[in-house]
Amino acid sequence: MTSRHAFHNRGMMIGCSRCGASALTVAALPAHAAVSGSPPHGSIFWVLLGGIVLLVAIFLGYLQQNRMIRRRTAELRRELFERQMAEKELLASDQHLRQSLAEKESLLKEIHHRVKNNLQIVSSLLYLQEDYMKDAKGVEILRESQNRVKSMALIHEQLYGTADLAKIDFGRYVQGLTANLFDAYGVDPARIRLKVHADDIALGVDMAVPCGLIINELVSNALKHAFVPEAGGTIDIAMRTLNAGRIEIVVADDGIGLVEPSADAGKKSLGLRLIDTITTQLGGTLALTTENGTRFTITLTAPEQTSKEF
Amino acid sequence: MASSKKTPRILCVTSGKGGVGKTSFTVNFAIALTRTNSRVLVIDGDMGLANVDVLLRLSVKSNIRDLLESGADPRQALIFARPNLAILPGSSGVPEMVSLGEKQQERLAGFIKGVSSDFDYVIIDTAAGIGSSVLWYNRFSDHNIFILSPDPTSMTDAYALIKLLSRDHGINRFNLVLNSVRGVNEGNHTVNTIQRVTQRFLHLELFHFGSIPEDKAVQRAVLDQVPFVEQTPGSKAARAVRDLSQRVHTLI
Repeated sequence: MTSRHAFHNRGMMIGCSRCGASALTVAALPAHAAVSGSPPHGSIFWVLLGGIVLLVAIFLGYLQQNRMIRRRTAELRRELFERQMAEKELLASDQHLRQSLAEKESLLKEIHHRVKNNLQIVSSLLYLQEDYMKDAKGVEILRESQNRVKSMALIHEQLYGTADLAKIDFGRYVQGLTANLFDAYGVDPARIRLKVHADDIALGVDMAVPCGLIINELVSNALKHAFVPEAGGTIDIAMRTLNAGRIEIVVADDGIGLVEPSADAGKKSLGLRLIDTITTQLGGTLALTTENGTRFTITLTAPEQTSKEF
Repeated sequence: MASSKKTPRILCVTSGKGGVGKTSFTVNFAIALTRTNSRVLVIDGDMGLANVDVLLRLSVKSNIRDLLESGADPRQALIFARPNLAILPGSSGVPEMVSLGEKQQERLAGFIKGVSSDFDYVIIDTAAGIGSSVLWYNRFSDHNIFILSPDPTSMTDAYALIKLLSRDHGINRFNLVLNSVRGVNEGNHTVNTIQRVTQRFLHLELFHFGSIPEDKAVQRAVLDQVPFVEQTPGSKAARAVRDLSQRVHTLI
């Protein structure tokens, strides 16, 4: 009775687990044990039946697994295709952006070039007007104006000549600017030596123009007034970045010193007034010492684009 | 598409990738269409390497290129290959015809319009690739039929052509026919895959016009230069093409 019961149970197990091979093995074991007392041919029959059922279950499991693998492979293939297409799209849009950027860059270069050309024309016009000026003071004023315009033209010239269209290497700019001034005032660089320390300072156009103008005024002033004729001397220009985005510009000379330290604002020269105005506009300070020559120290608050790296 | 009695429907069979069965489909589809009592003109638009005539064992006296150059009546070049079926052969081995100039396009449009008035359907078999003639035929047609096989290269090329046509040529209706599919699922799955990509990047819905199963009868028919709808009318592929010809009105 017990063995029949066991058979019945085993039949149930086979019926409900179509592909669970492990369940079948578990179910088959007690059955096998139970029929050990029965005639041998019956035992073989059940063992065979169990084996066949096991094989069928394994085969069905295999089929199902195979189908699952195929389905999963197809899904993966689809995924792969989608990713490949997405990659192509990304590359295409990246290329599009690069092209658009290149166009903008060349446009910007062209604009800087034209601005520089126009400023150069303004400077040339001022130069041409010198011929019609009898008054020596008038000629000097025109020449100063020329230098101011040139100092701005030089910034645009450097902007389109460098890879970074937004910033210029300020040290290089100051070298060019001062060379220009030495030339304009006919000063022999062997007589008045120039030292520039402005390493690794990159300035955006917003900052470079006012800084350029300040240096233009201070160096012009030094070249005109600081040194007795035929005597030698040195002009030091130093620029460095301070904390919190501030820039310090020092222009010092070892000349005869500033005679009248600008007591009366009304009588200030245009150059000094320009320096005052620019310094105030950029929230800066101006300090002047007149020991062993003249030393202007100006600190300005630079907009975001100032950085140490170039 | 306004369908007056004399205006044929112009279909353009295209693919992007070569060797997916455009010409074979065109010829067999055209023959299947003639069986529905339609008059069909097949234009071999592959003007660089034409071969519609090869599949039908036709001997070509003059082709599209000769017509464009001589300005002769295009009807002279038509070959009536079967009842209700005319073929306008293309030129073979002429590189300069692969890309069409604007003047040639205008002339060709005039030719096709002139010659097609006697037919119900004009089917243009385009070249592979994305040459200017392929783009022009696609713009010129009322409906396109994209033939693609389930392999990724064919899907990629079809996608590239669809993208180009939708982005630069204002075409936004595409009918896909999957060729050499192993089972219905593969066809649906492939369309689904490419559709997901077009939805995502081009916001385009594609129409799955049908699938043609992989069939040895097709390769045999090509080797024998006989259309498979005639050689083995009972084959799976022939049945699928006949089914498509009966559903030609569903093209978007």
